[in-house]
Amino acid sequence: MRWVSVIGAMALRQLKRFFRAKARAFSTIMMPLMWLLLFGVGFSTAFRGVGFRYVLGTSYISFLVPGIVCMTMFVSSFMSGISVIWDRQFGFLKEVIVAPAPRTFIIIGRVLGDVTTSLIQATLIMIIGVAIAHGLAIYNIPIALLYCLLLGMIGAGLGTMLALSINSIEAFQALVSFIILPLNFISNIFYPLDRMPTWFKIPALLNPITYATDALRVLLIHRGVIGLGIDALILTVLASIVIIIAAYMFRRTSIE
Amino acid sequence: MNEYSIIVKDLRKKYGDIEALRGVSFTVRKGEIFGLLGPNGAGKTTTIHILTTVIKPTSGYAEVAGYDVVKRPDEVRKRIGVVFQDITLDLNLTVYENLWLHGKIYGIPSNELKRRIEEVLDLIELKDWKNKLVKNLSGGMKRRVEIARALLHRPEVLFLDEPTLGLDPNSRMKIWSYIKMLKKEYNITILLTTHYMEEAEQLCDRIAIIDRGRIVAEGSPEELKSIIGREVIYVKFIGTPPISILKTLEHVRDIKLIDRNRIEITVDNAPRALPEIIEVFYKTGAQIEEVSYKRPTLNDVFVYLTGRELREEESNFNEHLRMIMRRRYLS
Repeated sequence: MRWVSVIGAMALRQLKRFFRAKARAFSTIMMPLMWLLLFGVGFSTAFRGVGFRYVLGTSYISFLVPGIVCMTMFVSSFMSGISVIWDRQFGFLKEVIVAPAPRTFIIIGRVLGDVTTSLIQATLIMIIGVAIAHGLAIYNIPIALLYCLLLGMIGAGLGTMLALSINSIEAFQALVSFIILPLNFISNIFYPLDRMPTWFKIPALLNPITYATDALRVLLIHRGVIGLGIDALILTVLASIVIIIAAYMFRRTSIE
Repeated sequence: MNEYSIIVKDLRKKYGDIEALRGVSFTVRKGEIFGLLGPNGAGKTTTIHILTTVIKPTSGYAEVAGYDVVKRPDEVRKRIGVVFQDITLDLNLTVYENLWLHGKIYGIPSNELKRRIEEVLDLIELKDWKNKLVKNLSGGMKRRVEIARALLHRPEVLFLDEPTLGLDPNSRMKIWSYIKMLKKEYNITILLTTHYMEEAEQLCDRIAIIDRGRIVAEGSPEELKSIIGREVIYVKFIGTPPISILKTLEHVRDIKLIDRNRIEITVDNAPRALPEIIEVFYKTGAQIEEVSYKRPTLNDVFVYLTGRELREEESNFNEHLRMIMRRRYLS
């Protein structure tokens, strides 16, 4: 079972690096936290009593928590792809390239490690969300985290693909805001999908965040429109495809 | 079975229209320390990168530890240890964690790994530093950790790309002593590149001098120096040098008057020829003021073969930059 030790070692490495780079951990969690506290609380207080309950079946803040948890999960795991570029610049990639271990295991280990760090952040946001919103089905959190895990695999895989194709820290950071912001808004994070017009629904349904958020809403506020089964199926298929492509790209990467 | 650890035949590598390697061939015997000596940009690192399966050659054949580097890279990777020119450690992990991660990636079982980490830490004398983050180590220490890491999986062939580049004399001596010890105790085959002639001379059993993507000479340091052969003795006299008297001596190859009272005598072996020469002068009653002699260095060999100094690298680099700029603006 040599591959288990390769995957485990690489995952542990990513975790150790994460906990040692406290500034980075802090900054990635601040963004969703601000959305939740500043936007969520402000928005739902300002428009209290204008029919949120009628439309959403719950308060806006309770509606928002599953969305922000998924946002945290996706953004954080996507951003972790940048570590491939760091490794290239600081030389560690060469150590991996001359190693006899199959690179597929190396990349799977990395992704699992990065997804674990994102899960820790998403859990943190979830706890804060539970504290400020009322009536979330807390007992469903463990299952909700499984959906988060799938979303994280997709995020980390896409981030790795982007990192492997551009190889520049600056370009990666510039592109991230171009990619992340529309992805967050063209989804059901902030508004219910069933109230949106078709021209909006179509791109939103191409966005993996939509399915994870839908699943979390089913689990936490009992209000989803797609359904747990389809959500799980689509997320699993997407995660598999993305990881296979990322692994393929990583196998072919060189330092020339 | 196979007496060679490395076989390289007519290796070529092109980057666009720049030819980094223009047909390199050499062989390294098992247990030998082989050096690639040449200035920066000669093709040393490109050669190492091909032999360690990092890049593929444009054409030619290379075999390491019995396997073709292009067709069987995984078999080669299992059998080699590599210390690249730039640091490839994870700076945010400790010394121990870096070694541990390497061991896991190379499939060393946990108990065995613990033992081996202690062993290599002993070897490079960094036991007290094992729980320090690598980024807090000096350049010399980082290089030592890299050597330790490359040895962890007991490779048959060790590649060292400029192992002492940018290090202070103290660290350099330390690394030299480790390399010598490796040869003595582990009988490992080592291929190292360097542009320091002292390093090549101190460490290598055989050296290939490489310049502009070609190997211009190959042999032991002594063999290479014998390309120039002769050693030169300088004698300064008080008064006029008695040249004619030397013509009777069989060791003397050539005599030249450099200035009014100084002569240059070319011989095969200066330390052996000197007593006789001095005795002859003494008998004629000539008064000697000063005697010195010079043996050829690998640098002299390099100058003789290429017409340039080994350490021209900086001016060469500027020249290269200018060429690139010119090409860019012209096209």
